[in-house]
Amino acid sequence: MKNWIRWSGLIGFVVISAVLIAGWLFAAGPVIKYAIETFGSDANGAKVDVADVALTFDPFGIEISGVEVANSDAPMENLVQFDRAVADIELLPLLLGKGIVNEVAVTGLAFSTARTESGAIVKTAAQEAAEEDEAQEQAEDTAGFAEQSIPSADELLEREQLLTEQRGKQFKATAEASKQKVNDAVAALPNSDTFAAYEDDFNRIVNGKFKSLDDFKKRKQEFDDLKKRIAADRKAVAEAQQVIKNQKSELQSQWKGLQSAPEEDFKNLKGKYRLDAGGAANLSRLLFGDEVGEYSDKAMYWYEKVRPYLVSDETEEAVDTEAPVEHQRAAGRFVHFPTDRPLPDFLIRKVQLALELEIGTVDVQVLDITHQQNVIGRTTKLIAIGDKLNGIRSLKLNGDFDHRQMPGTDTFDLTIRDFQLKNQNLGAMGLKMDSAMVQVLGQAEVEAGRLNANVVANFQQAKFSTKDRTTMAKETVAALAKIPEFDVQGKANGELTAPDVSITSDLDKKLSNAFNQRIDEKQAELEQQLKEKLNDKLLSYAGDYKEQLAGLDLANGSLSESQDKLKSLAIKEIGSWQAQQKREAQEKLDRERKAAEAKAAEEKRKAQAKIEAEKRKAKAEADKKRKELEKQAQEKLKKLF
Amino acid sequence: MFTMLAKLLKALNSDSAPGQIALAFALSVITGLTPLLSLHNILILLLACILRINFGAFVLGTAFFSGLAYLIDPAAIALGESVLMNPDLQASLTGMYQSDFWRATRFNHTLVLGSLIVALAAFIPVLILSRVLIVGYRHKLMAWVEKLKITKLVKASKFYKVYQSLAD
Repeated sequence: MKNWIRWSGLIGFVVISAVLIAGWLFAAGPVIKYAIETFGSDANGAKVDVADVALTFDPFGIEISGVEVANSDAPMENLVQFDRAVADIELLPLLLGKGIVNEVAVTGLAFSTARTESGAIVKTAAQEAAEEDEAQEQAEDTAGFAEQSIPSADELLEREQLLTEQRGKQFKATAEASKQKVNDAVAALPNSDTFAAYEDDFNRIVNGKFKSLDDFKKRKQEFDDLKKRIAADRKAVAEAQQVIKNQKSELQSQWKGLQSAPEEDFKNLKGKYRLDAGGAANLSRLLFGDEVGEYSDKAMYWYEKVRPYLVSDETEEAVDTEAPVEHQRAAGRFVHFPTDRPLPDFLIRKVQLALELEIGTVDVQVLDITHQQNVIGRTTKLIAIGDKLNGIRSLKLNGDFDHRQMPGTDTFDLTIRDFQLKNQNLGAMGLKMDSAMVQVLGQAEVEAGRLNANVVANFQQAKFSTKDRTTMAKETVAALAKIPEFDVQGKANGELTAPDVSITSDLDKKLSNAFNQRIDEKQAELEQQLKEKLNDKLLSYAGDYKEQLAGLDLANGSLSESQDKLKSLAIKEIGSWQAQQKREAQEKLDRERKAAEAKAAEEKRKAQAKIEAEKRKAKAEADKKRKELEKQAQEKLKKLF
Repeated sequence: MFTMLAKLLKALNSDSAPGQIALAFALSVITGLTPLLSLHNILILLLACILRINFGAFVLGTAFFSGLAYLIDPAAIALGESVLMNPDLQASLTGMYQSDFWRATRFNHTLVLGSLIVALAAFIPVLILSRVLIVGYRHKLMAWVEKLKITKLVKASKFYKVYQSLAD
């Protein structure tokens, strides 16, 4: 039997085993540190730094110290950091390649601490391009929501494509082009000096007698040349008149469009940004919208940050199929049996930590953190409890991350008792909630990237004040003072990244009349501002349109005058040599005939005067005789009576 | 590999107990047929180290049976599946599953369990068969082989020089 035992072999086995174990123990710390930093950074989107990782042996586990998780949105800030975390790890499952951690105790936990160096990860060009696309999509998603808020007149005019601007720019360009065309056309026309020269030439040519036939021919030639020049100038003037006419017509047409643009813009804007009860003027949203938005943003921020560390949507099968095939032998499979101790690849049974917040210490427990919930058959649970906090009697948040089946469902229940709100600025009319006692109940569910959340806050003993001196603000405060209790209900539904948020309250009914009045005031104010600013825009584009139009009229008148002058010059003719002789003879005949006619007329006048004198004499005698007869007749009548 | 093969031939041709060589082959059936990185193979390796067996035969046997495993694996998986799914064994298997030690052995893996059953079943036959073959080789085959021309050619080769240096 002694021959069958080889003691040297036993020693060799022990030595080799010891060397392997020692090597593993020395390498384990750096390997785990590397794994946390590498995979943690990938999941976080920013650096995860670990100062040291050491193994412990009683109980077996690891101690991680100096962990800093950078904020991917603010690289010079840590999202979270802790001084020390001790994890109690089960040894035997490690032989199966399974990391089973019974409990993690975290100390020195702090949030939003400053970093000495940037925690940003250097990204590849492809990653940056993908992030830009995502950001653009988010911006487009939120654009619709942004239109629901109440913008100022300046913001509206800045944001919208205005007809006033489009037509104004077009009008300005046309006016400048028109000015240039008119200037070019007018520059080619004769001026007053040219007209005077034409007159002088004409007078020189046509005045005085022709001394000879050659003199006549010479003057005729000069006269023809002068007429050609005048005809060319007339044509240029006519063309210039046509240009002015066209430009004037074009400017007047566009001016009409520009004048009507502000009104059209105003109608469009008024329709698009109508303020009514169904729009942005929801009182609850106006008063509490900012607060609710801030709280929901914070909640979504931390949910997105924490979720990758708690659960994964990968199934066990998916992990197996994605793993590189290192062994060519047939793989086989594990057959699992019922057990209260299932072993996924990675499991943290319990994380216990105390969150030191401004409101006090909140104890947080996270149970069953694993990416293989289907193996352990349990969901990942989050329990946060705070008692007797600063301004809050109790706070309880239960979270349940159920990813045993796809798609996974994350549910949250929030209960806050006796939350003492103080000096809370509200979103409108300078309103401030001086104090109130609030009870909050909330539920939220996230499934397949869609959020369905409902939070009800019951406000009691609320006291309001306002620094605003408007009637509306004072009346609102007075009305609020008469309301002993009211609820504000917030709902969020839709895509996780851009849910539709609605806020309702029974306050709406009680204060709606007063608020409607305020809406009307704001609407009128906005409309007035819009009108004024649109008119300002119109005037800025109109420029010296009227002066230009007057200039065109003036130029047109001047051209008409020039045209008349040229016309009068053009119709003048020079007589021929024979015509001159004929004209002289005719003139002589005319003179003789006129002398004869004058003489005959004189004789006729004298004869007529003589006849008239005789007629007057005869008439005078007849009158005298008639008067005598009348006198005789009167005397006879007197005698008769 | 030459050295390992030479050691094996030396052992075969020496006065080493045939049982030591046969046991090395038998143990290599387990390491060869089952997935190498299994907890039970640490025990087999320990046995191979502390038992006075021919280590060269163990290593060569492991390589040989690992190759053979490619053919046997489908059948071994089917066997493991049938055992693990056997209703009569569910209580026992469930009991073992509660223990971290047994889980560490990966007994609930169809290939590990199936191939281990095949290897254990083959252990005794391989042990006996290899012993018989070694004895037969020494008594009959070795003398006949010595007379072959190929043996003479081999003796003139580099391989034989290695063999000789080890024999000396």
